Amino acid sequence: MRLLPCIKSYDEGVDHSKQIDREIKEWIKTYNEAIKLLLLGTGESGKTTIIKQMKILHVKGFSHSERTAMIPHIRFNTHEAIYEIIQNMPVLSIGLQNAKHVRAQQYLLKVGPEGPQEYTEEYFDNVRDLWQDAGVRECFKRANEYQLIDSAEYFLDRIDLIGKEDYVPSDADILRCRRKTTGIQKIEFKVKVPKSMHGGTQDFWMLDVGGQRGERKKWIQVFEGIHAIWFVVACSDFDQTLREDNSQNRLKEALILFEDVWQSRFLLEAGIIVFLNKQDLLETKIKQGRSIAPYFPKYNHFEASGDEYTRTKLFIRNLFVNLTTKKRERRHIIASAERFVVLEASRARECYFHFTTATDTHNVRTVFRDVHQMILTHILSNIGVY
Amino acid sequence: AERAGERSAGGKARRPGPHEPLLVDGDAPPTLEEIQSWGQSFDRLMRSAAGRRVFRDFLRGEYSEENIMFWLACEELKRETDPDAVEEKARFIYEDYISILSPKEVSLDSRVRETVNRNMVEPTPHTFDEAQLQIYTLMHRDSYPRFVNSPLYKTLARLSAGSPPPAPAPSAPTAPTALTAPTAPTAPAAHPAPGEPAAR
Repeated sequence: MRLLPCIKSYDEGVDHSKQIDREIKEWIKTYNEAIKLLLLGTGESGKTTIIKQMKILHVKGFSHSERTAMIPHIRFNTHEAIYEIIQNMPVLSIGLQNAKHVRAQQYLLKVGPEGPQEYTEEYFDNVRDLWQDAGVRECFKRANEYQLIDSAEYFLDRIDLIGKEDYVPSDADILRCRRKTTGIQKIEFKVKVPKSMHGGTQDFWMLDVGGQRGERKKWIQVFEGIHAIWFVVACSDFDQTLREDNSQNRLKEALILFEDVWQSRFLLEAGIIVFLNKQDLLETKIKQGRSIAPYFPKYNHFEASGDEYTRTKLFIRNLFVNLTTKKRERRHIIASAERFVVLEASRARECYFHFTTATDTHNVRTVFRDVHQMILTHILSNIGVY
Repeated sequence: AERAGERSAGGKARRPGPHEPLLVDGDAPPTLEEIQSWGQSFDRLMRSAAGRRVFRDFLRGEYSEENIMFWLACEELKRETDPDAVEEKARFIYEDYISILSPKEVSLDSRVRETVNRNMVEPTPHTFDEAQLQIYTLMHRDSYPRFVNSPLYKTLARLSAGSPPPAPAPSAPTAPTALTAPTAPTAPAAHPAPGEPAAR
């Protein structure tokens, strides 16, 4: 009889310890689960470039056969670049400076938008001649008035290398190779966890999606269970229009899309990190004397110190920050199918911002480290460890 | 939106759509050479009815099946000779794949979209030619390289090469990790099963 309370309390102890064991197991399970990241953003913002960087940083980079498999795509990029420029010269009333290049121009226009059957020496000679022409360069400078890939200059400047028979694309070439993405793909990789954060390895899943309007209708199908959204913005796009709708400014589209993502009730549990991308191109553009002010007049009243580039990038960040702090309001919902937003619930959430250049492996490595640390801290704080 | 998609596809999302039977009936099973040619040329893949079926399965898993559906619908339209049927089919294609309200809208640039819109005033069998080419190129450049490196295609190429079915393959278990990585590194010939004539 006397022993009973003791036994009972002993049992309670067992129960309690079992419960702790269960909690620890649960904790480890959550912790060991793959971190699921979803890349979102408008078309040509740099999502797939981030995927390529993950492959370089955390998988095993590109094999020789993967590199050679990129050659036709890089050559096609070169072709679409020069073809687009010369096709737009008459539209912008720009002529060739050197009459000798007329033949080359006719040659290329005859090749057509899909590129030549075979990339011959003659083909590359013609492209090289045209790229030297001052008229072609003038038209290139006005590329924001038509649709030109961002790596046009990079590839055209390397035409001699790209035209070589034994050309093997470098990481930099592969990172700049532009291919429109359709659908949704997943890559998986493991990352070492810093010792300060318990060490070991962490599994990652990263989902890449197409960014153009039609593609966005598919996004919602992969929203469940996502830990963090990486929202990628092409900051240098401020003076360009969409490929899919040439009446819409690209940066304005990115802002509208970001607001949709930020307010989506299906993503309330996901952390959101904004990659203010293409900082290299933005800097070049600003230093060439372009200004964001004609497209975003509020820039004229924006107060920040620093040079024009610094002020512009801070202004762009501000545009996004404002959307996260804005009071939720019943916005007029446009009846277009790509909108997946339902305005609901409001909860204090933080949004993180990074200035990035996705084609720069060092930059992406640093940013990834920061973001990884942040996600781990977030998970640990959720289970009360930190 | 989901439901609207199913409705216009004329059946459940996972069942073959309206264009499938036409291109599937009475096909002889693909030969080994044919299956291997799919990995070498996108044109060869798309010329083969069985190839298109396999590729379509792959695209479904990547959420981009609408591209091949649209392409097939355009092929069907080009074979149509009755003017009334042309008009009707063109309108259906427009509603299903071009309209921005459709859940299966394909990604076109604004120039091509304008051309299609102009053509729709008086549809012909070639109303969508430019759009069809743009989507063909999109599949060729983006989806096809992943298809060639996918476990789906590799398994098929291996099985058809006469090796025993997925036996406890020595190097296979790790494959899922590379599952949909943009470019899976190993070529099918890298791990031939015992007795398999080295696939090329």
